[in-house]
Amino acid sequence: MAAYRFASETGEAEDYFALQEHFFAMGWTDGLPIVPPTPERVAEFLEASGTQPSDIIAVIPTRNRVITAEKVAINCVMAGCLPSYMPVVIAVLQAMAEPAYNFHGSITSTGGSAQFIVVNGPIRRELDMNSGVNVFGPGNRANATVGRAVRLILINVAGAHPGTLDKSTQGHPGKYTFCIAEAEEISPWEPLHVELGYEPGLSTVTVFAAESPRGIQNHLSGNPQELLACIAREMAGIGAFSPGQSGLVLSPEHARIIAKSGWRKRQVKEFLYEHATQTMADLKRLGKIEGPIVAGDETKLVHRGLNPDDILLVVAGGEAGGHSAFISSWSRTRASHFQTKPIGACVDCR
Amino acid sequence: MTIRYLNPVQEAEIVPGSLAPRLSSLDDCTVGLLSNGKTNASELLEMLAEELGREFRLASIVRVTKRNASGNCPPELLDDLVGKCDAVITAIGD
Repeated sequence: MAAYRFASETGEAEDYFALQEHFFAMGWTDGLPIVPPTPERVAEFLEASGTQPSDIIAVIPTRNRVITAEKVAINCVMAGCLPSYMPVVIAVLQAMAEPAYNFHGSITSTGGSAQFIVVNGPIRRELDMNSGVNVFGPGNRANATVGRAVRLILINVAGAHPGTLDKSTQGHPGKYTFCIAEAEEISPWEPLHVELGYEPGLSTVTVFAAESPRGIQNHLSGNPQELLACIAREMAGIGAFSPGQSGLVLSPEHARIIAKSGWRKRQVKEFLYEHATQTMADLKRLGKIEGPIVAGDETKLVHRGLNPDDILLVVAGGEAGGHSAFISSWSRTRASHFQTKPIGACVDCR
Repeated sequence: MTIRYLNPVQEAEIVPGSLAPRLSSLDDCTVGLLSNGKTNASELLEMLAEELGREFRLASIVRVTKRNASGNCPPELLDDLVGKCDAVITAIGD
């Protein structure tokens, strides 16, 4: 293995438990125990990702923070990642660094967003990621630790300490980890990355500044119109209503019901956009939009989002069960747009 | 067994800066009011402008609202304020 020169300070703890207590006391964790970031282990991650310690992965201009490969590797080790996961974490940070994502705002706002991460392409199999049963839940190392590594980086490298810079009023559990693989093999449609123009054989991450998932239970609808009308009603929910984007994770069962009638993804998204509406009067009446209710407001319909492309639609979950999830964007406006990046693309390209 | 570890924290790069020279008075000055776009930010700034108007002989007031409350202020808005104003007050509201 190559010898690396690290810029980070080194410390020593007398044993594993002393190290844990020190990291907790310093505020370097997410509240859970971490894997000690020894120089040897960090080196393995740099080796696996083909990066040098000083390679710049992302920059947050607002905070004058530079995220280096060394710091990414340290926090990936802490999260419990395998070295092979580091390219995924790098791609997530690259996506977040796109101006349209709004890195700083999204991690500090009272809105309390988490990074909802969707992984597409062959890397899902290579890393043995979960796209099936319990896809949002615990039990899969890659799903759990990729999302966790991102959170630790946001705390330790971006400075978004809960309560200090991270001013989330409540936040949500996705802030611990919120990473899934799409169930491409059983989806009746093209996967997300292909829909966005990437080759099927390329691996990508899509990152969405998101609120918590809202479950949609439907066990009776047998046709697309009825099922999607139910889903649209949830998407139009007044609490999360905004002109922002939407995430929709359809269970395989729901996707099959829709697709067996010949509906393609585009048609699904157009239907949802058309039907996920609230009246202007209700939005004003219920504290969502400022201003008095005027003539015409009771019948004026306001759509969630600006167009069908504002809906990020993927298929994931166990093959049995009428349970899908709607994930609202962070922000009462359109402060962040989901971003997609290829995994393993150029690092520190100048 | 002693464990060596690497510090996971990245500190910000401190870029030395300096405060703009202080004004001794706002008399005959143009004052900019920069609202971040949140509810009540403009109202707060207007109340402040009224108070200042009682204490000082303001030349004029320039009012600007940032489009996206959760994003940085666009550089062109800042440039415009710097070009027109002697002092700028910003408020976050909510």
